Amino acid sequence: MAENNSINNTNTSLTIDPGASGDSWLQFSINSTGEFRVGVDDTDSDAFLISQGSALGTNNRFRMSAAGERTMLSQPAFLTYVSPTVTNVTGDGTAYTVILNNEVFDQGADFNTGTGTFTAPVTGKYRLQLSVWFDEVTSSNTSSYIEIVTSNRTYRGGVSNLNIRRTKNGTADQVTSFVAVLADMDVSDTCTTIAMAANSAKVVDIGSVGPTQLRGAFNGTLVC
Amino acid sequence: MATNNSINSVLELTNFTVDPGASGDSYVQFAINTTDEFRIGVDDDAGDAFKISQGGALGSNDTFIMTAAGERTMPLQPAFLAIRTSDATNVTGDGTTYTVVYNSEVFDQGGDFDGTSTFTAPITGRYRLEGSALLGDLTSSHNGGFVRINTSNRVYLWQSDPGASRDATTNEYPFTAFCLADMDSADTATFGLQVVGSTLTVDVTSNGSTDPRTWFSGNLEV
Repeated sequence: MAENNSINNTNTSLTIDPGASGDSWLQFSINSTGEFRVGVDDTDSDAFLISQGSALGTNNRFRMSAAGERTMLSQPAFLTYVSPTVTNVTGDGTAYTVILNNEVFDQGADFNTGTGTFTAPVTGKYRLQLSVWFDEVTSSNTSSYIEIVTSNRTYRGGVSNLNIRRTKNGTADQVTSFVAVLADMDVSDTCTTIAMAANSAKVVDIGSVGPTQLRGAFNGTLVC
Repeated sequence: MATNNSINSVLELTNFTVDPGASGDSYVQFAINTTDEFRIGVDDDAGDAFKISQGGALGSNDTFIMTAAGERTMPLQPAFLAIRTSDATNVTGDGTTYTVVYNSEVFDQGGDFDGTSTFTAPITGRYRLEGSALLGDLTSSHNGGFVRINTSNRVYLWQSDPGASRDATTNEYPFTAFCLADMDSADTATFGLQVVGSTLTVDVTSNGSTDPRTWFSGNLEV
C-alpha cells in the first residue's frame, strides 16, 4: 500500500498496470474504508470509471468509454408524464398543479409521482423542461399559461390564447405549451408545475397518450 | 505505511491505494515543476465526496464534485441565468429588432455574461442555450414576428404571429427559443426579437426577481 506519495521529478510518472488481466485502478480510502476507486475496468471494454466504494464496476458514478462517450447513471435526472389523462382540471382559471404520475426514468429517485414534485438532492443548476398538452379546449379558452415553480422563483411560459392555437383532431381540441430554463436550486428545494386555462367552464383536460407517445412531459437534470 | 514520500523515478504498480489514516483527505497531487496544478481525491470534510480541485488543496477551486450517491456538480463550469426584473416598454411592434437587456443575474459561473445582454464563450464547445421573453401590450395588429438566439456562428430563429396567439385577457405572448449551439472561444450569444405589423408599443415584461417571465440561460454542455 502506498500512501500520500509524491512524484516530483521532471519526466517521472505513475503507471498502474495489473499485468495480463484485471482492473487498473487507484483507490482513495480513509481509515481503511474504500471511498472511491478510479481506473480502467478490464471487464467493461476498458472503460474509465469512477466508482463509489472499493470495487471498480460497482456503484459506477462516472463512465467514460474508450470512444469518449460519458454517462453518469446516478446523476439526478428524470422524465415524467401524465397518464391517463386527467379530466376537467382547468378551463375556468384554475391553476392546476400537474401531477406527473408516471416516470420513464428517475435517476436518484428525487421525483414524487404522487405529488408531481421534484426535490433537489444537492445545490446546483438544474435544467427543467415542461410541456403541457391541453385537451378539450373550447372556443372560450382565450387565456392560459403554464409554470415551472421552484422554491427560488417561478418560470411562466405558454401564455397564450388556446382557442387560436388549438388544432382540430377529430372531436378533440388540443394544443401544447412549452417552457424551459436552467434554474438555481438549493439542496431540498422543490419544483412543481402548473397549468392554467381560463374563460370557460372547468372542462379542459391535461394528459398524454401513454409511455410511447408523450404529448406532454416534464424532465430535468442536474447540469452543474 | 509510507507517508508523504517522494518518488524520484517512474513508479509502476499493479494498483495504488491512498489512505491518510483516521482522518484527512485521501488524494493524489498532479504538479509540474513544483507547482500544484490539480489534486484529485476524497474530501474528508465534504461527506467523502470525490473531487477534482485546481491547485494544491482539495476543497478549494473544486472543478468536479461527485457525492457518494453519484450527484455530480461542477461549480466552475460556465453557466448563467439572466433575468429581467422589470418591464422594458415599447421596444418593438413596428419591426424594430430588440436585443433583450437583462438587468439581473441569478448566477453566472465563470463570469462570462456581461450583465446586460451578451454571453461570451470562454472556450470552444457545445453550449445549450434557452430563453423566453414574455411580450406585453400586444394587439391583433402585431401579426408577425420572430425570436432569435444570435451566436457568432449562426442564428436560431423561430417565427410566429404573436398578435393572434396572444392571451386575450392579458395581451401577452412568450417568445421562446432554445438550441445546442457550436461556439468557438470568444464567440458571443444574445437573445433578440422583433414584432411587426403595428406601432412601437410592445413590451418585454417581468414580475420581479422571483417571477421573472423573461430570462436567458445557458451552459457549456460538452
